Amino acid sequence: MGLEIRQEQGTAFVDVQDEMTIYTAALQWEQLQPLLAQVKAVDMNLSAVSEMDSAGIQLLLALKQASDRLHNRFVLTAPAPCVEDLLQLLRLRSVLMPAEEAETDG
Amino acid sequence: MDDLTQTFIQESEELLTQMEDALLALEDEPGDEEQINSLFRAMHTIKGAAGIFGFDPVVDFTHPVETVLDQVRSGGRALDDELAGLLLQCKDHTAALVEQITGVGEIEATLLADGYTLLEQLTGQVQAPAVAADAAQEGVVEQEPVGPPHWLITLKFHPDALRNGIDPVSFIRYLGNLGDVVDLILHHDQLPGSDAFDPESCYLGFDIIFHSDASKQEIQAVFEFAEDDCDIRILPPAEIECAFEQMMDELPDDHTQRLGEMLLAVGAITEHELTGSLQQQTEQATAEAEAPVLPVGHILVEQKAVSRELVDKALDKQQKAKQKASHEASLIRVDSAKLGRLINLVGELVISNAAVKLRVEEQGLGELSELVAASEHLVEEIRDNALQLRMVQIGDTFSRFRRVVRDVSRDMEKEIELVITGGDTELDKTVVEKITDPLTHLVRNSLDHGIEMPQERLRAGKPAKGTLSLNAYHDSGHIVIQIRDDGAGLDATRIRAKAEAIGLVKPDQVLTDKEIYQLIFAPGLSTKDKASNLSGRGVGMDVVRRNIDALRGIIDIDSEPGTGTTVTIHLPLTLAIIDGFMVSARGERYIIPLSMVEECVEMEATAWQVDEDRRYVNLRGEVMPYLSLAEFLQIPHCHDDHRRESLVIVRIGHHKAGFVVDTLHGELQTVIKPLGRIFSGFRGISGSTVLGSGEVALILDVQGLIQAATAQMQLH
Repeated sequence: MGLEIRQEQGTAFVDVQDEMTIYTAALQWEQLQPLLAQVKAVDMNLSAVSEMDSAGIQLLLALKQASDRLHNRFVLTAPAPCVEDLLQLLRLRSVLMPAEEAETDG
Repeated sequence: MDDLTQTFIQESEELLTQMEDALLALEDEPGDEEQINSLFRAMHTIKGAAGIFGFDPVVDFTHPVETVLDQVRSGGRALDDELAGLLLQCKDHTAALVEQITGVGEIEATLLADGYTLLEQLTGQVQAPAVAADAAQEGVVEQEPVGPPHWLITLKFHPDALRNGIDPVSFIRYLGNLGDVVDLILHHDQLPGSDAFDPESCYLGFDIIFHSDASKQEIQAVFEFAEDDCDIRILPPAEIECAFEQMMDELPDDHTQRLGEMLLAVGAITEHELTGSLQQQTEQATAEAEAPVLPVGHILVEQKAVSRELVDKALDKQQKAKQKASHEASLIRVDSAKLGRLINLVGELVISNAAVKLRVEEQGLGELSELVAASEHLVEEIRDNALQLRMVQIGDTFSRFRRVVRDVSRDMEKEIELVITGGDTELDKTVVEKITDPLTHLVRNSLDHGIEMPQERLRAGKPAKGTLSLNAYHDSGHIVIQIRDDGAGLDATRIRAKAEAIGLVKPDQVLTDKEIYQLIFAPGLSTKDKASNLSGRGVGMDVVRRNIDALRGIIDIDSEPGTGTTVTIHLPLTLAIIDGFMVSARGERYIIPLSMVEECVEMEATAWQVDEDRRYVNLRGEVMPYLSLAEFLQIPHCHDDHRRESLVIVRIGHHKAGFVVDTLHGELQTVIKPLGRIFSGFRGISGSTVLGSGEVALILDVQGLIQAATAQMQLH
């Protein structure tokens, strides 16, 4: 459970093996925030996210924003259906997954 | 989350009560718009709240009901007796659904089936005149003539929203049940830098373009649970233009641009209007030195995009909503267990203060006595205030009977009017809870056996419509509740015959009518030849009597053949702390509730014409029974017997008696401690209290003692 993090050549690969909700947000932020300064890119695999609420979405937005400020790359991959669902509902695909958006468009 | 569910249950209960009240009020005053709105609001709000909790069965049921109510509201369907009856059933059904889903988590199949049947009955007739529904639609459009039904909903959640269990996404998701979320902008520009970011605080805001035929109230209701944690702005199509200008000030540029495009895309404003107002504003902004900037709203009004009246009307409406909200905010919900704890603590405070007072007196600490007196005064005030917190008006309890009266009169084809007076009389909530069942029983009795059929009434020269009145008032530390009907009255002969049949009285016993009436409180006595639908299911007046006894109250019945029956209940206002009057008999201390003490006189055989055999005194012409506490309670003799004795006259209602005691000690704040079950069969004592000295004094059950004294007098 929780986050599986491994670093390879300046990229942090984060595998979320948990829900991303108000209950987990604080802990996940605690683990991820210090990471941002150490790497050049963050790649989050969201395929195993079991549940996501507003706090989870907000956490992603905060990570994205912090990455942008550091000129880091921030990539989300393989969103689980519940994540996909929220991204759709909140029209956030273009914000959080711009690359893939472009791909599907193209 | 559990707290929220609790809130949901409570709010549903309140809303359903409002719905019932509204339905009943509408019977008296058909077409009262406010009541119709209240009906609609109740169903609608419950639906909305249930949706947020994912209580789908509740949503599924309330939605069609709401639709019907919407038709009623718009005049598309008349609220006739039949519909009102169905809606009352819908109210009950909703209550049952809420209870099951919050309790068990799912709904039993039978209940679901009941729901379908109800809905069939409800909508079966609606679907036929489709014209009516169309008319309803037109009505809505007429009210809001500008623009297509695109709403703009702006939400700004407060930092604590997430922590308070509010999940903004769930509200947006639920909106989908009311209509289409056409477009949405999530504002995350308030997110602080990564050092200041608190993942449990909420920084999110939303602009939502929402396509729906729902009313503003309906949309508003979706967010009802978030109201405390969110700034909500819901703009109907007609107001979007005005607000657009305001948003330009509030929002960062890129968002304004985006919002403008969004509004444009859904046709809430025309391109011409958009560019026009943006341009005009910019022009004026540059010319600011000369003239104040005209808000775009004004500009749009000038351009006749929206009408002035509409804006004013909307503002007015908002104002009213605000006032209502502030009124609601002045009340706090408190867990009654917390109040109970407070009152217990105040009780302990009273006792310990009494101990201090006693010690100060014993030690002759004159300087301290003033301080003690001051703190005693404060404690008394705290006590009164604490008890006041638990006081509720009896009106709510009375109002429940509107429904009972209505249903019974329908079922039995009687015409009955319920008259409620003194609804604002207050009494302890714990007493209210315990009085509801006995009251229901008495009311049903009156409806069932008291009030006659219309033809019978006409024959007796009475109006066809019977009257049942419920009345409450305060009388010396008691609340008096009266249930009066103008029915046939009790039949003394039949009661007596029945009482003789079960061996309650002997055939040769002489009884007044009043005494015979009291017999109906005896177990096993029912004069009903057949048990009706309403009463006569085995719960008799003896149970009512027992309930009232348990509350230290008394119940009286008075009846006049042909004119009606009045049942009067006297109840103590509270079950916790009272002002007591302390006396002693043969060295034992007893407390009499002060409110029941009429006067104290010296026991003088000659002055009061004491009749020692038949045990009565003649107090200035008023004859009443008396009893000696020491004898009655069988207190063992002690050496200082036969001193001067005093007579304490007590009264409940119009029952009076005298208690003979040795010493009068005076007033005392008394915290009532219930007696253990082992003493439950003990006659004459209703509780105990702890004195300042640490001694225990027993509280006299005045009502029981009066009865005993009366019985004693009659025996001789």
